[in-house]
Amino acid sequence: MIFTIVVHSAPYQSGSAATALRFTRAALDAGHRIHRVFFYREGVHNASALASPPRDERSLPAEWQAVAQEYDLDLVVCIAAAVRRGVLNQEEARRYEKPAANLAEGFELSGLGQLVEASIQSDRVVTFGGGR
Amino acid sequence: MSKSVLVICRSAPYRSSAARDALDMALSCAVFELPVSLLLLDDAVLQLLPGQQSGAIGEKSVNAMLGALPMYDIDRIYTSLASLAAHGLEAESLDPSPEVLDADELKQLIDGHEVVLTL
Amino acid sequence: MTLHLLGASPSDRATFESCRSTLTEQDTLLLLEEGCYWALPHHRQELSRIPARVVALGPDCLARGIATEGLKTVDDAEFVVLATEHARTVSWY
Repeated sequence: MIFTIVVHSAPYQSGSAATALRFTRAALDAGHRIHRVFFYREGVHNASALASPPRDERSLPAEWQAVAQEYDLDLVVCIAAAVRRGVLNQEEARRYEKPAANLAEGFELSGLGQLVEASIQSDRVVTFGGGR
Repeated sequence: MSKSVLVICRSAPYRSSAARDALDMALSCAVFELPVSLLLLDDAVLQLLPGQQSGAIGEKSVNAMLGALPMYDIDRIYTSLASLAAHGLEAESLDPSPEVLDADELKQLIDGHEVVLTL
Repeated sequence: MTLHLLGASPSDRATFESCRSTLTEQDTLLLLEEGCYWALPHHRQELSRIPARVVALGPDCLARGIATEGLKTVDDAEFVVLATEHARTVSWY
């Protein structure tokens, strides 16, 4: 089956970003396809290259990167939500004249249309919320 | 292949970005010409309170954006009897006025959509 | 036929009530994250009155010290199977 995963929560905001990661791995392990993981709302913070948790703690951005690399996953971060919250790639940093970019490698910024397209292409869309 | 999408929002306006994010999701679906419905449950029904002057707290009006939805072919905003009752509201006093669903109709609404996006 | 994900704790009454009002006999309610606290003995009676099948995400219960006797638990792989078996998922947080 083809899944799309929607992540609304930042790493330390609730447990749901971590649940989303576990679900993603379990689906891939079972032979399903993940059409896209879409990070929306506070979920954009999963894509920060600057998150620096202590070494004995997990790092969700790093774990997303690892699973994406292993399975060639499409990790898309809502551009409007991300730019508002200070998660920028090089291009957006230039556009908004900011001193640095911090979108982690393996993630890309794109529009909400990517969520709609993914919903059309997928058999199931699973939202991991948290933090209304 | 087209799919119908139900967006469920449960947050009051100006609490977080939820109300606007729900609208943006619904509008994106409409841009792709997907049939989309917006269900405002619980505190989200407060987005329909008339007379919101959000400028007083430096925010854009969620209510005004909801009023503009028909321009994007999103004609119906749904809420539940329970959501209205929780705040002692009546549909006629809200703007835009929502379609009110009882528990059975709520189940049918969810059942009638292939994708449900929640906030 | 819907898989409902309840991630809100019992102290968030409104989320539970809204979720419950949409459940049918064909649906499954999966308790996950803080929703797992619905599996505490104090809440079991209310849980038993739900029309849908109720299951809990095992690792989330285990992590929080929630005993699950008498309640079906699923692991992450079975969570994925549940998602495939139902026509759609609806999340309640």
